[in-house]
Amino acid sequence: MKHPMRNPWIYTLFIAPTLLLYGLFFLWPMLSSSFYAFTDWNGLENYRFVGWSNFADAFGDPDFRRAIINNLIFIGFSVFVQIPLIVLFALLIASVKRLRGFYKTTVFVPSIVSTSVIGILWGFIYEPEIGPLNRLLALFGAGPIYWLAEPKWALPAVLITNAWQWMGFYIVLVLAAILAIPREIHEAAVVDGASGWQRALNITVPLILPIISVVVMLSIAGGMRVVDIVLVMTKGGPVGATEVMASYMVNEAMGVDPNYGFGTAIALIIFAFALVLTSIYQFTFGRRMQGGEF
Amino acid sequence: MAAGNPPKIFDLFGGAGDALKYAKAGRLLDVTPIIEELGIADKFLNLSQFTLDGKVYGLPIGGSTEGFFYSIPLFEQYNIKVPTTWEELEAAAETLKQNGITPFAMGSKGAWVPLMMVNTLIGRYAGPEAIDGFPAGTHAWNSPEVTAAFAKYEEWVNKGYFTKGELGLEYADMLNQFVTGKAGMMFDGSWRSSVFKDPEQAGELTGKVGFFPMPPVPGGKGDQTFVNGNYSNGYGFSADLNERELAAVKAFIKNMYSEEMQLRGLLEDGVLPSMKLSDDAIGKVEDPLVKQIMETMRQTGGAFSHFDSTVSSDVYKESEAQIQKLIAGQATAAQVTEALQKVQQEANAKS
Repeated sequence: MKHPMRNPWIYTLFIAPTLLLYGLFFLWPMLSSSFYAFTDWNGLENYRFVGWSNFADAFGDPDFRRAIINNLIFIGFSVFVQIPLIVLFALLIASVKRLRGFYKTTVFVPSIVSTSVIGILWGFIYEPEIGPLNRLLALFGAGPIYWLAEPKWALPAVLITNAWQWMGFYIVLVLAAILAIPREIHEAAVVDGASGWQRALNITVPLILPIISVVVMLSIAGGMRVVDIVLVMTKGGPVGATEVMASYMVNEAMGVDPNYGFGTAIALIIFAFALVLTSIYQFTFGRRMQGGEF
Repeated sequence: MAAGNPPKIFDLFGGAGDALKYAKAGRLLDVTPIIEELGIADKFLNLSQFTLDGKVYGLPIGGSTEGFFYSIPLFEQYNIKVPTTWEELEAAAETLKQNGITPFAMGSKGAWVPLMMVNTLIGRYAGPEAIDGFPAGTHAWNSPEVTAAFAKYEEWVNKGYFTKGELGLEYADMLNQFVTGKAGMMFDGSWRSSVFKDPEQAGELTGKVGFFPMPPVPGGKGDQTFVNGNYSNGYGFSADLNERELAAVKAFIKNMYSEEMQLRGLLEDGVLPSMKLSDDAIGKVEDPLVKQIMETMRQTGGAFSHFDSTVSSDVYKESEAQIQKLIAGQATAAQVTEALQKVQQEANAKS
């Protein structure tokens, strides 16, 4: 009997159910809702085809442009501030002899707690009059900062809370990569007289570049998708200071004046941005980092 | 609602943004024949927010008015008398400010909260007709009178009369500011009165809160004794009912919209009646705060709605964005009203 997997019909039969589910729950909704991006449907009445005007309106709205910039700030913060700190913490945890499991767990726990809960808890920390953060600042004589009410402090506040939640997840990933490096390499370096720092910078970090590349890609994608932390802490306020593309979409498509056509257009814009950014990264640094000098 | 499948009976807000929009899309049951059959059609005080083309699509369960709640202990402590003129109101605010108390509690994270006071300021400065005049095109947002109303709000923001950090505070935080004695006055709707009877919610201020309407503005247009009167929360019914469901809806309307239920709402929740009540029903009210509110309603020349039930959703959404910009100091009153008029004109052109 011919081997079943060589028979194209059997092959198709095996993967057909999965393809069906994929098509039904992913492809079909994406394609059919993309159609609404070119209409002005408000969910109730008949819609009219409006072509590209939803997209033009989005880019013409200064609040949306602000949201794009905020998304880029999120990504920039994740890649240029969080990642060095993640590598540093992972190196520190890798170098402790005892209680490593305890440290791993403590940094990881925030990433499994619901984002809404974290948003509310940090809302209490940032409370201007009785919150612990301002009380700590008062010890140093600094005045009360209205963290979530002032446009210039709201975004940093949200960025810090977001970092606190997600850094642990990436630290554990990078830690696994660090611990996978064969010990012989480090032992050889110690014999040659390398200090801890020299070993970290010249051996460990270059060998974990592939995983750092993955973390960068995840951070870019995550920075494009961020919405729940913003909605829970500030609803995009004050006055759009923390608005990101996805929260703008939620307010437009489902707020006081629902406009599902416009909301879908914005969803497509977010998708396009994420695609472009991750592709650019993949074809420039990604190739180099994953190229492998092994 | 969007899927064409509204519940059979549901809580509904009136006005152009909700009930009238759903009615135009054919989702709501026309209750005009039902209320005529039950004989209650002319007992309602104001059905305008549920009426489209002469047909009624929902029934308001109660009414509310928006005005100033004040803390009796704080007013006594600083010898402030209840303001009946504009100068007295501003003097009261200044006195409170000088003594380290925030004059007006405010939580503007939800933009609808500051818009309550803005609405009544518009009614005072530009006249009650302005509220309906915006969508009708007879009144403009960027007219000098409406801009003056926003400018007065801006002036109070700049003088620090509102809670500091208000853009980070929710509606519930505004109540806390008032109840914990950090603020002396709070502009809110009459629905809040039931909170001040409950020691768990009002704490030390239980039973020590009074109410007064916004005083006449010097130089304001129109009848300055009008107050805000909203008859916009009620019940709506799906247009898609079979025989038995229709009978159930009729029974619901008959039992819910009766003098007994209206009185219960008034006595237990402080919700003002949306139907005419007999005098001895009204006489049963004992809570002094509710009595003050009802006395205010009795003494006015009339009522004007909140613009959130007269203008279309896109204008209302713009007003939410603009008031927060005004509070954050990112827009002046003139810029706010120009932006609003622009959206209003586009909305008027579309309809």
